Amino acid sequence: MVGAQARASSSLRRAAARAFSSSTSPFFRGIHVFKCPDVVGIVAKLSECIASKGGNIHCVDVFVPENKQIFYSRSEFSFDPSRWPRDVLESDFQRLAKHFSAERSTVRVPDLDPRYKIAVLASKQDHCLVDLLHRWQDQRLPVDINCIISNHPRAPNTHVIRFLERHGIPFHCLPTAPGKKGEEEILKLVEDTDFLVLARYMQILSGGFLQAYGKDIINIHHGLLPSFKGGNPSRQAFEAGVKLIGATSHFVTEELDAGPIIEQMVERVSHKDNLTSFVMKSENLEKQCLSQAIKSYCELRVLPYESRKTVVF
Amino acid sequence: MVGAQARASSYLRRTLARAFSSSSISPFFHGIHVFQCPDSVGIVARLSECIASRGGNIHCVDVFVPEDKQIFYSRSEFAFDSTRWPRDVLESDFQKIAKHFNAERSIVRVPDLDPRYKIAVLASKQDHCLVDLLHRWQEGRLPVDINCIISNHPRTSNTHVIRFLERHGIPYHYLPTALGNKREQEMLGLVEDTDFLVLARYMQLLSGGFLQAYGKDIINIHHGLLPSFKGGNPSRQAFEAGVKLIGATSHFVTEELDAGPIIEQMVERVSHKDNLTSFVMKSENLEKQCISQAIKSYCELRVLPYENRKTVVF
Repeated sequence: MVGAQARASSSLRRAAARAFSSSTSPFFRGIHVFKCPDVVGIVAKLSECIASKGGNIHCVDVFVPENKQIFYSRSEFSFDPSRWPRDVLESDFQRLAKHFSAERSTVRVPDLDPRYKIAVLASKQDHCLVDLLHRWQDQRLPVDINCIISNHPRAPNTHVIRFLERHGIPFHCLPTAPGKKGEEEILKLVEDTDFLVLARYMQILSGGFLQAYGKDIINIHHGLLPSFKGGNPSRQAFEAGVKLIGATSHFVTEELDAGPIIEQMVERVSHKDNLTSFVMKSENLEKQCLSQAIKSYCELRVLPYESRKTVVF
Repeated sequence: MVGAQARASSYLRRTLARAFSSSSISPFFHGIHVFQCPDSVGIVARLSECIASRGGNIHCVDVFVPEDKQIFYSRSEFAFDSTRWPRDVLESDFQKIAKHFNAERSIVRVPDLDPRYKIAVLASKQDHCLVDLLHRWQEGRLPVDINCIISNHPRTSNTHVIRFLERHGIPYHYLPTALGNKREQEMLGLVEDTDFLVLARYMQLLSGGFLQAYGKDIINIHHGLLPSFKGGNPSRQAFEAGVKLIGATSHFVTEELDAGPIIEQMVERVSHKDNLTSFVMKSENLEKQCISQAIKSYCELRVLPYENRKTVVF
């Protein structure tokens, strides 16, 4: 099937599944994240809003930093859409956001709202891309994949290309050269996405691109930032004789490998490891770390915090 | 008691305890042998035959030969009867094998017979690593003799550290440093009779001249996950970098700051819920564990230099 048809069909399937199963339970799950200047009464007001519409709160994370008057919260609740329709849900929270001059107020109902649409950028290294695609196929990655963009060609008989064809996901090969990053074309191809994932994409995206795209870009760095920035961190780590190696997923900013960190993972290494096993352990970590970051992001768990950090609920 | 008397008395007590408990029930002592030589066929066979031929029973062997280098590393632990294999014969037997294989390194150690490693601990203002080391030593969990403490920061007589040291007869030497005067000559004099040094958050850089003159190993604790955050205040650096993991690194000291061969690293998770205080607290916990683990491994002959920047840690 062609990609768009496949996605429409998938969305329809999901809503139908929900509708048929909902005769037992009319409740949908909602997630609300909120960021505003801190004052007394925010939690009371948010929870009263949910309760007044018959919503049942299952989970709340609230965080106010020690030394700043900023309020962060994330709530999960179940609600009956016949009692609290989706558009009313939206406007109720918007009213609260206005009341508290919120910098951010996002409500999401995963089973009703369209999935996040992403594009994945990759270079020659396959492992992160393949792992993402498999998790997506196993429905463990709650996104729609618009397309794959790569500066490295892949022949039609490769696993990746055959997989993408089966699922109707376009593969765009945009070879880069010094002075020719192809960013204009990339911008066009990713116009209709909610965020981007760099799955070992080895080109640096310019400040101009970041500004023009304007939305979040998640990268996986195969090292424990800020150690080993730049190229071949496994080799750098191997030669430094460290006893722990890691991977870091983070938001992309203009500065290379320096954006706010979302997740980090480590594994032990010793003299028994050679460069090959360093790389292998690192690749394992990258796959886990990147998919964990995407999952957290889609579940609205990741919020920017100060200029270089994140709150991850 | 004066320090030296206390130590001699401790040594005597230990050997007597061994003698009284061992002679009638078990004359077996626990030996450790580490070996590094050019690789060839037959080394393990030779070493193990040597131990067996003297009635020694091997309990543990670690052998490592790197993929791409003809270098052999091993560490063996064995039990032996000292009446059947006297300590000096033990020494010469292994020396013979070391010579045969042109070993770069062959060390045998019998912890219950040989004198303990003698160390000096250098510290600055921060107490936590020093205090932790002293308490572990007092509890018998750090198998060393502490010759003295050297610090570039004064401590008054009514502080926990000073009272502790006085009770145990361990001298405390206050050597304030100043620009252009690191007091290294005096330090060399004070640490002459040590087997290795421990820098327990000692904040002065030891010069290449000192390292060369001292000549023996120096273990440092860096309160960060090297090579991240070298230099000062790594907890603050980590806090501002928004990392999700912080760590500590123990390593050998070389002329280059925070760059010597790494012995041990430990991590802990941090999140937005952590402030600078909890970053520092988690970091201090890690430092204490990491440095004492490194010292323990070192005393058990588990740490061997590997290539120029790394270690084998069995």
